[in-house]
Amino acid sequence: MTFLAPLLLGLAAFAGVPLLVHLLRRRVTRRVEFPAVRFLLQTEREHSRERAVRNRLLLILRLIAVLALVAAAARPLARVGGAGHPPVAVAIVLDQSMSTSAVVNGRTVFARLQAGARDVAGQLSPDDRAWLVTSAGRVSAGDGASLALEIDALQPAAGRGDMDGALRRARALVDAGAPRTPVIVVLTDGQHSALDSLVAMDGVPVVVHAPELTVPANRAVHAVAVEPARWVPGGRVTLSLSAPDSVAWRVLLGPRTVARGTAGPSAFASPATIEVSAQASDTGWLAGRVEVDADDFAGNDSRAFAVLAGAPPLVSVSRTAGPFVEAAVEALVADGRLRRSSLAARGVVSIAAATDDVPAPALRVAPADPLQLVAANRALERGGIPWRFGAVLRDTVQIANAPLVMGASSGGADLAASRVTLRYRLDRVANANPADTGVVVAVAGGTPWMVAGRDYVLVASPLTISATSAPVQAAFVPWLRDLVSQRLGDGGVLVHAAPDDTIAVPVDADSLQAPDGSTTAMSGARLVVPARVGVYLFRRGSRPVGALVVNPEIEESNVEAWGGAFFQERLTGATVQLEPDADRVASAVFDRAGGRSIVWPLVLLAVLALAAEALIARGVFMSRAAAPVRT
Amino acid sequence: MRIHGSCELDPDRHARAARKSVPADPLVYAVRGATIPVLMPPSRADLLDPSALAALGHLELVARWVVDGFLTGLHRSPRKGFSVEFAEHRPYQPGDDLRYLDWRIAARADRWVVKQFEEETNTRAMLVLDVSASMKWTGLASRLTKLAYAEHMLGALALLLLRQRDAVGIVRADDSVRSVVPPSTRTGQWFRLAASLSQSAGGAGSDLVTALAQAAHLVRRPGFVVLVSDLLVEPAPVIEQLRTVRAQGHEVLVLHVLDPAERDFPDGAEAVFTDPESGASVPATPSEIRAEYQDTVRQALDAWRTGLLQVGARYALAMTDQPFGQPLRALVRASGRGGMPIA
Repeated sequence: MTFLAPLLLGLAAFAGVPLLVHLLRRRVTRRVEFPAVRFLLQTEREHSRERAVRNRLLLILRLIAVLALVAAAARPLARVGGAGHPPVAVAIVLDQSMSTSAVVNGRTVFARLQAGARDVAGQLSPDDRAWLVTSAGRVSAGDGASLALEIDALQPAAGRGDMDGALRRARALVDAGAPRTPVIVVLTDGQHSALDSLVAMDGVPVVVHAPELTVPANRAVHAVAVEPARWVPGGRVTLSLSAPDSVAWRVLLGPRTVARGTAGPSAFASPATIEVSAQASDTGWLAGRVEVDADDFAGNDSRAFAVLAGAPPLVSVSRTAGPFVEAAVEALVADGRLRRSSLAARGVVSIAAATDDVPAPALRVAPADPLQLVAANRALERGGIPWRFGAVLRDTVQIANAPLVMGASSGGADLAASRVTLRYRLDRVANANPADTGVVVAVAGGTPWMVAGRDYVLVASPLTISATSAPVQAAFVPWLRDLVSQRLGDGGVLVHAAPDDTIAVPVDADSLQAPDGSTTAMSGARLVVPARVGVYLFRRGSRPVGALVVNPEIEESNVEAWGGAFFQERLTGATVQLEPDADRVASAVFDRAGGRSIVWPLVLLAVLALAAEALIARGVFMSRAAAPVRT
Repeated sequence: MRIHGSCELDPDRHARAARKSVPADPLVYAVRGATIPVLMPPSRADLLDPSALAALGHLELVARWVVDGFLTGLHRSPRKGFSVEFAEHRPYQPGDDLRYLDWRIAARADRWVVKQFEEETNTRAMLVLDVSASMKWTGLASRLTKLAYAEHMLGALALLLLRQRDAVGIVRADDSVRSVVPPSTRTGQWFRLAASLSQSAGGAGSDLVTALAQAAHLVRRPGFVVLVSDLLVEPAPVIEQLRTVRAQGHEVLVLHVLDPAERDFPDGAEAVFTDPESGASVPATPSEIRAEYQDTVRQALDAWRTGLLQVGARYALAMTDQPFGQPLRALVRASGRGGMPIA
């Protein structure tokens, strides 16, 4: 027997009250004069044995009543028969992944899972504790009715979700329901990609409901790649797709279809790859989409992409920036990635030593001669840059954590691990506006090596081989390209993510514009990717500084790997019961319970004991009623 | 001895009669010489609450009221009393049979008196009162003690007997004989009896055997012995003594006086109950033991009743909350068979 409120067992001390009363009654101090004591003595002689039995019986009944009430207050559970089900602590883990949106026999898989979850919630009793945990990260607790409402309100997510995390949360939650029997019920389509790793259940029984369904015919767009990152004005779109039969596809850029065709049958494991050329009819960030003919699994019938269309950014390079920078820009101009311009042109990106007075936006590098530090700091002050060069540091260090100009996950070029032999300490101006101080993009030897503000990037070393090996790194030219076109130019970062992923927020981006045009302010360094697929724009003020392309994981499209048996392999340390029949899920869950509440039987026992005590105390059982005395 | 006819005894009328004729009521003499305040008596004092009645006056008055009320309630006797010896005159009262009106006196002295006759010779009655400590107990402060109740009862009985010129005496005893008034019909006997009843008592025991032997000894020829006690004694010696008394030719009547609390057991919390005579004590919880106790009391009373019946004694139970008329009436009923001298 276990107790839901074992602390209340301390009330059992009250059981001592009848004992105490019983013992105290042995020390009666009140004396009453009564001439007919001889009758009392005779009564005692004749009935003492009977009364002793009665007193002991009364004591036992009172003890039973008190102990039964105390035990009832502690809400005991025991293995007894009866109606209803014993109390359980059940976590309903509902697979909300995109694959559950597939329609099988006219009904989505998710609707079937919902029905099973609702059935479990509907049979919860007040003694149960229950939680709803979804693969999309939703966790809620409540009674059967409230959970049923929440289950009804759910929809399949656009991505894979985190079933591993959901199971681990469920495992932790059911412990909170002790001493009720913990049970986890998993309602899933059984897709093998649902679990990345083994999940330890530590003895908690698991009921897995994965409906046995006919795998639907699925046409899926696997991936879309765009080259180059900036279309001037056109580029290439490489798409891969799979279909059990020939399928028509099309590429849309904005509202316009820029390419279409038909692909032959291809297996999911070896999708067909198609490369098409397209032209942008507009400039800036453009949202595109690759579509195939719709089927019963609509979630993977299209895939979004984004391109930045427009002329190459303008750049002006000063000789003071060094020969390596000059050479790199020359190569980029020759490749059509950049265009040279004068400093007076609108939107031009300047590259110069910090000693030069150049307009923003600008990449400013440290002077090669330490004697020019004063001039450089004066130029920085005139340019409104809240950083100053400090002491010369000539130790040899490596650039660390300094990759990208725009964001950690942008996939851009990286100068990390480059050696630095000459650098100046970068000091933030004490009274600078915190909003203007920018961020430290890279460090070397524990001090800032590269900092970036709203319209400047400041490097602590001259970009020469006497100061750093960065200019001779293979990544130097792409780094300079990304820096000019994305960080300082009008381009930006392109980030690919799945729904509900967590990504780093691009530097200086302050809001996110959804595909429907709505804008959400961002704060902090991390961002949870929205659940809706499509192309989102990072904005700094009103200016786009990058794009976020949200597509579901391609593994979600693999409908050939469905089945609950997979969970038996991945859930360790527990008895995993597969229950494909939705009607039997609830009974499978509640059959796991180990004990039933016996509160009311105990209360009834206490009442019966008190009733018997009252009857015996009145002498109903122990002696006959005295006949009236004749006068 | 039986007195036939019934009348409404008005003390004032008795007083007037005493002034005009030979007093027939011993109380008249007592009242005449004493300074007893004249109270208006209840018409049926025998049916009043005994404690309330006792609060109205002292024992002699109350006894007289009880007797008067008791006689008022008696039915007319069907036995006319012809060919019996003339006993006395008494003032005529409305309702008296005109056949017994003494026309001679009416013609000669213009007084209306009726003649009374003695059907039998005078009887000697001996009252034995238990005045032990247990008799001085009451279960309720507003109730008479058993002793007070018994004294009033015996006062009324003695007065009743004296009125019909029976010789009445009394023995008061606890652990020894405390006072003895030999039976007599002399003037002032009632006063002596009343004075004896008013004496203090309260010994630590009840020696009823000795008291009964003394009473039987004082009644030389066959008469009546009335024992009034709570009978909280061993039955066997008492019954055996009563057997002896009966063997001497006496009629025996036992009036068992009990407080209602002794019959029902008092309410209250658990306590140690102590016998004022023996000092024996028993702890008990009234609510738990009441039923068994009442059963025991019932058996004890039955044992007394049976034992007394076996020796030819009569038994009546009187509760101290009963009007005095009830035990008196019980005595009358008992006399119906054995010739108890009640008018």
